[in-house]
Amino acid sequence: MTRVKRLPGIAARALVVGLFVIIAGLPVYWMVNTALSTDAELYRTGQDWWLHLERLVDIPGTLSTVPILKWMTNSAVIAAGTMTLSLILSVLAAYALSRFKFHGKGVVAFMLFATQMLPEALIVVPLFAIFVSLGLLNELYGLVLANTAFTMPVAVFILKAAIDKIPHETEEAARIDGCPRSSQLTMIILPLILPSIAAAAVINFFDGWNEFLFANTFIADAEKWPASVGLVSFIGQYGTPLATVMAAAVLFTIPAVVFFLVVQRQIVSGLTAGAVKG
Amino acid sequence: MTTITFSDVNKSFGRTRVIEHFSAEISDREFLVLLGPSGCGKSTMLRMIAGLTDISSGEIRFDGTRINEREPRERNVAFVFQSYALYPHMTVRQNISFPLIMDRFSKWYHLPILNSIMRRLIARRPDVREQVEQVAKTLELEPYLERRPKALSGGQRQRVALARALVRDPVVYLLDEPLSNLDAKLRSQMRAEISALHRRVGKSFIYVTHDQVEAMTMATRVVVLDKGRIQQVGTPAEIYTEPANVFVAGFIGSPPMNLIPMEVGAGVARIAETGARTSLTPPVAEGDVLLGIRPERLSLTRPDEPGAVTAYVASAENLGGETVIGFRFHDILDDTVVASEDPGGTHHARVSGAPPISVGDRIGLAIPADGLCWFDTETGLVLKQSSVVEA
Repeated sequence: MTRVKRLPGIAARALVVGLFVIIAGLPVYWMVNTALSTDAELYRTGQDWWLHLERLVDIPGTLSTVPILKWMTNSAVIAAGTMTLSLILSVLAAYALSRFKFHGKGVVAFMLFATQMLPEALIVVPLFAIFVSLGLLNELYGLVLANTAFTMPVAVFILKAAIDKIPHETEEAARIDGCPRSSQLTMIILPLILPSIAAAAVINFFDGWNEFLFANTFIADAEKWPASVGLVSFIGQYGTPLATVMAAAVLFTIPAVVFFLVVQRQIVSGLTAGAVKG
Repeated sequence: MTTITFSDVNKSFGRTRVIEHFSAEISDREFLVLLGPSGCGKSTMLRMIAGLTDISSGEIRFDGTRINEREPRERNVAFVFQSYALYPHMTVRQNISFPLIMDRFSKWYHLPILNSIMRRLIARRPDVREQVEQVAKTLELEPYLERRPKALSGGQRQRVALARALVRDPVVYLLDEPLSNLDAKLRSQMRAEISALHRRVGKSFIYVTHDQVEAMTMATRVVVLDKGRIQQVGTPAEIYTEPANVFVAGFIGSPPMNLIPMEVGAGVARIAETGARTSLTPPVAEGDVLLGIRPERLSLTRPDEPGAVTAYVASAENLGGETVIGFRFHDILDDTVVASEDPGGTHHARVSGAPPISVGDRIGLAIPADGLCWFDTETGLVLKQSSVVEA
């Protein structure tokens, strides 16, 4: 009886969840679908709803005309570089903001916050001038620096909130046990905020992986383009090979999804770890 | 053998003075309890000994050597925190071995990444493993060595915190309300265990608590603190029977010492509230004083007994073997006395058995001539103690 009574509730929940899955998944499905279509199909009305999986074998041929793997490698270098540099700097900044008292602490926190108020487009021109004078144009590490400047504040806020939650006694106990401050950070604090580091890593990695504006402005050499810029280069004056763009886009999303799946486990374990006191 | 000396130690946070003119000496193998209400500065005192909090002025010396500026590590103290402060990401074994590993770390082992590798390598050394297992055995933690603190009960966590302190060979053990998070039964069990540990280890323990039962049962000496000032230093028995002032008298004991306002005229002491004459010998010939008497020193008599004072029962709590009687000097059923104007308040008597009394009854109380304390009403300081003569 109770099962029957609960049935409408279960059905309603399934409906809502299903709806969300469709809303979230449809663009991805359509991307894959488009990648498996021919240009002729795409430009006539009524694209097929089902996937032409038999055309999967054609994709390598379609993509062989463009250096997509080179671009993705560049994207990976930029994303990994941004993530690494940003995490190192933000852990130190978050620790200082959380644990030290110093003059101008509020100003530092505000400045970090202020970087998030300006749209990137606003500072592209002044940043271009800086890149020219420092010789950073056309260099991947230049992009890493620019991206880090923008993504680091978010990571700092996430990590500071995590460090704030760790009781001071834990570090004091380590102090008494003879652990200097540097090791308190690396041996005690870091393992405890690993879930937040994973969350910050995801944000920083995707910022670097998806970044377009700076890459498009500061990198002129097609060999050094990240995939985000490479994809846009397909758009021509007279036509856009949509199937090729989408095939490249599918390829472009795979490493990002894999990275997220690997890191996601850390984030979820962190969420449940906090549920138990102590 | 370490003697700890405090010379006029002061501590202020901004304008707030937390510790004022603290001077004391702790000799070797002592179990010193810092006792006081919340916010009296006792935890701050302990943190200053450990080096976790700076001293504003004054000196702390270990065996005559000033240690004010030394890092906690250099002071070689062990600290048990109220919240246990275990490392949540480490197993019990790793928690206990951490101080031992730190002892064996050279400076360059603290480089990032290398420190984690060296921590694991040193933890595997036979001497470290042996010491950890020995302490774990003492505290019955062997079955839990591979568990994380999250998977332990409060009492087990407490033991791990103790084990982490015991595994080293510090000059003094500092314990900051270590039992306050445990339930009543576990607390009494751990009290006995900590006392036993103190005897076995043979080192000084400084123990902070607001629980007088812990102080009375464990301490060899008690320092009673209030508002950052030492109120009294003495053995538990001295603190109980000979309180130095009304604060100590009112803080120690449950129910605490009765403080009865008395008027003295021509050498005769009268109860201020009722004017009833007593046969006690006050320490002053004239003026107002407070009579301090422990509840168990009072005994129940008939109201018209010569020498007894008349009182009215305000409450009677039967605790099984004994009864705590709350009493007042005026008739509590008398409507003419408004509660807010009640000058004397309720006092307590502790008598054995369960006397046949009920609220509102008129009773007589016999006050013995010995075991009394007289306090100055103005200063609150003790005037005279008539020592207890045991029958």
